[in-house]
Formats: sequence, C-alpha cells, structure tokens
Amino acid sequence: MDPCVIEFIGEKSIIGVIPNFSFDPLHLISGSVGPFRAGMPVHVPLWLGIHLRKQQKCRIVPPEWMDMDLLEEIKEEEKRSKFFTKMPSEHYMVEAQLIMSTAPDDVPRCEEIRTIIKDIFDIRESKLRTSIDAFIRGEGTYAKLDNLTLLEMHSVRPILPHSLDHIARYQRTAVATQRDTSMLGLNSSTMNSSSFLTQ
Amino acid sequence: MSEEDYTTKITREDACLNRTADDDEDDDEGEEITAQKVLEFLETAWTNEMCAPDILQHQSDMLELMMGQLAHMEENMKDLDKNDFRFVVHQMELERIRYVMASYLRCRLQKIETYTKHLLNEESTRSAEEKRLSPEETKFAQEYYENMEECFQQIALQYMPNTQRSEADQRIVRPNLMSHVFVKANVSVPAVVVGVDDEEVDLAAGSQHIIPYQLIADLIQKHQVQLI
Repeated sequence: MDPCVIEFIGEKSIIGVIPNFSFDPLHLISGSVGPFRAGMPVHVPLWLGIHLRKQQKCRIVPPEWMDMDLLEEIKEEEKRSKFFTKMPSEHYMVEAQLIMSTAPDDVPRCEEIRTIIKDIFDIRESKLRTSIDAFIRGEGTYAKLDNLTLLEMHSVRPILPHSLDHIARYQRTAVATQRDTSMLGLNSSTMNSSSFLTQ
Repeated sequence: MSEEDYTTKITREDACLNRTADDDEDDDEGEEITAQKVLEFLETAWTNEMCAPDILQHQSDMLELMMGQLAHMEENMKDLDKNDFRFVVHQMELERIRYVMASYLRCRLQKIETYTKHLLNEESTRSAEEKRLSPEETKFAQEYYENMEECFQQIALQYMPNTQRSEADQRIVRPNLMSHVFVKANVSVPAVVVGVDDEEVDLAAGSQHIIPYQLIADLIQKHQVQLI
C-alpha cells in the first residue's frame, strides 16, 4: 500500500468543524452529515473538512488530543513503556499532517504540537525497529502488533514481511536438506515462534 | 428553475434514496442492506485484496449494488448547478468510492495477470458457489492465458526443440501463500495455529498480528479477521 492510500483511508476519520454558512443535512452514501449552522460545530469526515477549510468555508476544531499537556503525557508514557502505547487516534499521523498543513491557524501552538507528534512517532519507530530486530533474531513467524497504527505498520511493510518470507524459505530448504542428511546423524535445530513485540 | 428548486429536489430525492435503503433493511428477505453497509463491505474487501497474496472471493454482487447506487446518485445530481455545494460534496464522495472500486478491480486484474494459469487450474477444481473469480474475470483470465501461450508459441517455442516445448507446467507462477501479512481480528478467535510447530494463540477482538497468510486465510473468508 502506498502512503497516499493510507492517507486516503485516514481521511475517513471524523473531525469537528465550525462552518461559516448554513445548509441542510447532506445524505452521503457513507452516512449523513450536517445540518450545517453557521458558528455551530458539526462532525464531518476529514476529507470533507479539509475541502471546506481550503474553500474558507469553515474553521477546523482540532481533535481533543492535539493538546500539548496530553501529548507530553503520551510521549513520557511511550518512553517509559516497553510496548507500544495506545494512540489517541488510529490515524494520528495522517490527521496531524492534514490538519496542520491545511489549517495551521486553527491549531493553537501548532509548531510545538507538530514537533511533539514527530517526537512520539520517532520514539515509536525506533521501538519498532528494535523489536523487529529481536523478532527476526528469534526466528519467529508470528508476532502481536497491538496499538501499532496503519502508517507505522507500513513504514516496515515492504521490508519486514519480505525478510520473513525469505527466512521461511531458507528454513524450509534447511529442513528439506536435513531430511536428506539425517541419516548421517546430524542434529536438527528447532524453529520456535514467539511474540517479542508484546505479550 | 432556480437554483433553490434544484436544491429542494435533491433533498427530496436524497431522502428518498435513504428511505429506500432503510425500507430494504426491513424487508422480509433480509437480503438487502444499506448503501453505507455495502460501502464498508467493499472497503474491507479492497484492503483485504490489496494485502492478500492470493486472490479472494469476488464481490460482484456488492459491486453491482454500489454501481447502482452511484448511478442513482448521479441521476439525482444531473440537474444540479456545478457550483452547488451539494454537487461538489456528492461529486467528491462519488470519486472516492469510484477510486476504491477501480483500485479493487485493478488489484484483482493484476493478480490474474500474474497467476493466470494457477488461478484457472484452481478455479476448475472449485464448485460453482466457491468460485473466486467472477464470470467476467474468468473470461479475461482464459483469454489472457490463450493469448500469452499463442505469443510464446509464435515468438520462441516453435523454434525450439520438442523436448523443451512441453514444459508449460513449469512456467506456472504460484503465489507464496506462506508470505506474511498484517491482520486485525474483528471478533475474538480462539486457538489459531500460528507456527510451524502447531503453536496456538487466541486472537482477541481488535488485536493486530503479523502471521503467514495461509494460517488465517479461512478466517478472512469468514470475516473474523481482516487484513491491514
């Protein structure tokens, strides 16, 4: 999956906007939105919110988690915890990127928030790399990936499954070879699968 | 007609569209579902298809339903001013849905082109209701295969010694069913075999895992897990 596909999927999440116009409810196939009343907050899909904001038809209400104190807490928690902590939103990177690039003025302390979200992402990425290293060394074929968001998964998507596939292939070959050489009394190594990421 | 008229019209038609969907849900048959559900279903089918190494069950019925829905929506929008707020938003949504459907079908075509002979062989062993390819896709696969064979024959095979010609079986490309995929459990699934040595774990609802495809292939079919 390309990053733009992940963004596309993330654009379905719901955000609050304050329109500056009034309009009756829209009955979209994916569900109804509205009614729009000037000055009254209303929930819309992110793609629609971004479009309206670009047309200067609304102000975006930043999601609750786009708050310095809360994000500081999350960052500390992420540093402390051995495992991945639950993110406030399944698509936090996509939402942050889209909202803050289209409407930096609607988010208080935008620059600081941008930095801290990036920090959190970096901490999680490095954690992910370490766990993957341990996972591959442990010759596992299965792992639990709770709380990992779609974007993070895709940051290791091409390389991780491919390397696992290759390792599995080598192991199958090894097993086949072993069968041939077993009459020579060679020891067989066992494969074990384990969960290194979370337990 | 003034712009106002068109707006009222689409409101009515829109409401009408939604009502039909609701009515259908109450039908005795219990077969019909809302447009929203169809869309969610297709989006899941789309991500599953993108992530799975093998081709999955075709969703012609759902696609058909959605196509009808789109056509209906376009019919409603036909008379609307191009700059109308409604028109713009509905248009954007239609484009998004079309993209999902097109991307889904493209993804399947790509698999058909890669694994042509393998898929055709598999299909011939499946019963009518188990068929993974839609009739159109089967036709495409058949013709694609014949054309490729013809092309190989014309360009190279006919100049080769007989002994090397009959190696068609060795040219079959097969998907690696043991390749690793990311899955998310929709419901809790107890005792899933996750390793070569029959190790089992319970997948909790909402949990995410990386696992060889073949071990959970049947769970996708049953909608107990989805690929991400």
